Amino acid sequence: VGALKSVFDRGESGFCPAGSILFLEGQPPEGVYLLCEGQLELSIRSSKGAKLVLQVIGSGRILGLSAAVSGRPYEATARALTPCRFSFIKRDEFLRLLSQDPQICLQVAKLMSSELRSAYECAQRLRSYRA
Amino acid sequence: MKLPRGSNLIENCLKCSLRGENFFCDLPDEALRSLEAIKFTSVYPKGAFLFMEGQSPRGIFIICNGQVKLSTSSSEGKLIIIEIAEPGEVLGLSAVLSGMPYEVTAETISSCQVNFIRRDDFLNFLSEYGEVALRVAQQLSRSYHIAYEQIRSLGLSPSARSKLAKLMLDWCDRSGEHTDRGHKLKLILTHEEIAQMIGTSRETVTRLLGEFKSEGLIEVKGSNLLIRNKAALEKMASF
Repeated sequence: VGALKSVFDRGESGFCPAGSILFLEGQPPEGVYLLCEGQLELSIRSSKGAKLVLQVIGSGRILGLSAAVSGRPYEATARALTPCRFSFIKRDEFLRLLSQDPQICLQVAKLMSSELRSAYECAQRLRSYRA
Repeated sequence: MKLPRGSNLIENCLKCSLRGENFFCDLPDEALRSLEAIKFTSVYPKGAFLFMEGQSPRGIFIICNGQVKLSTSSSEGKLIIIEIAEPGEVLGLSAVLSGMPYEVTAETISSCQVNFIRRDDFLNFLSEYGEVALRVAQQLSRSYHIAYEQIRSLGLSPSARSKLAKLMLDWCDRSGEHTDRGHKLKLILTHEEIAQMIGTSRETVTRLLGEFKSEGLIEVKGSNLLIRNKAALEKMASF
């Protein structure tokens, strides 16, 4: 998490039981989450109801970064697989910190680079499965 | 300077007439002056490789004009076109920031003017101009969104037919013009490349285009594509 630790030090702590939804695909971005404990699944769904789980993520991961930066809706749904403890920072506050501190901005860009890499890997896997 | 195909070479970023609002290089003058000092301007013909997947990141490439195909390969060697990058986009950002190999291959599909900035120069530029880092994050977020569009199409679309319909609708959103007879577009991709965008075979794309034509959904004349029945494509693409 590095430089973003200072961001989440200002966040609100939260807890959710297994099965709860942290955010939904298509929902406007409320903020950014740091998963402190537990496991979550990220999935997408077709309009006809078909669900595709893209990945299971564990503690230390940050969620909702891209949506918070762009203002676009969340790309996927995050659902808790186990009880989860997290830190949450509202989008407005997050963007304010970003505009004030270039180091945080750079850290966010680096994290997004690694998320983009995972998204490309996911596309590669899907191309293999559905050939 | 005039290029062979009639377009102009923009040598000075400060006087650039191509730069639009959403361009990465739409930066304050001071930052732009620094960028000017570290960039190398080149013009590439169609079919040139700017960088290859797996190669160590040498630097970033800003597209001034022209279009660039970004592709990656599955473990079986099947090519997937992730995106057709447009002017104003920066290529190679995530690899340069992370220091990991380029995760895609970038190949020009038209003649392109590109500004190249070496990795070390770009990282120094970023630490000097903090506001550019936010622009970088926004660019990455855009690429992330496009990658998710691909994931949705590859993972959830029920058929190649619906994927092709969705792709054509995306083209309508991004380019072309609306006429009395429908939406008019320039077809810049080959059937093989369309197949690589939607994860199917070249033969399937050729067959589907034939079906779309005989059903009166589209008309194709050379590289001109006319979308005659957008509503039918929308119905087909809803998955």
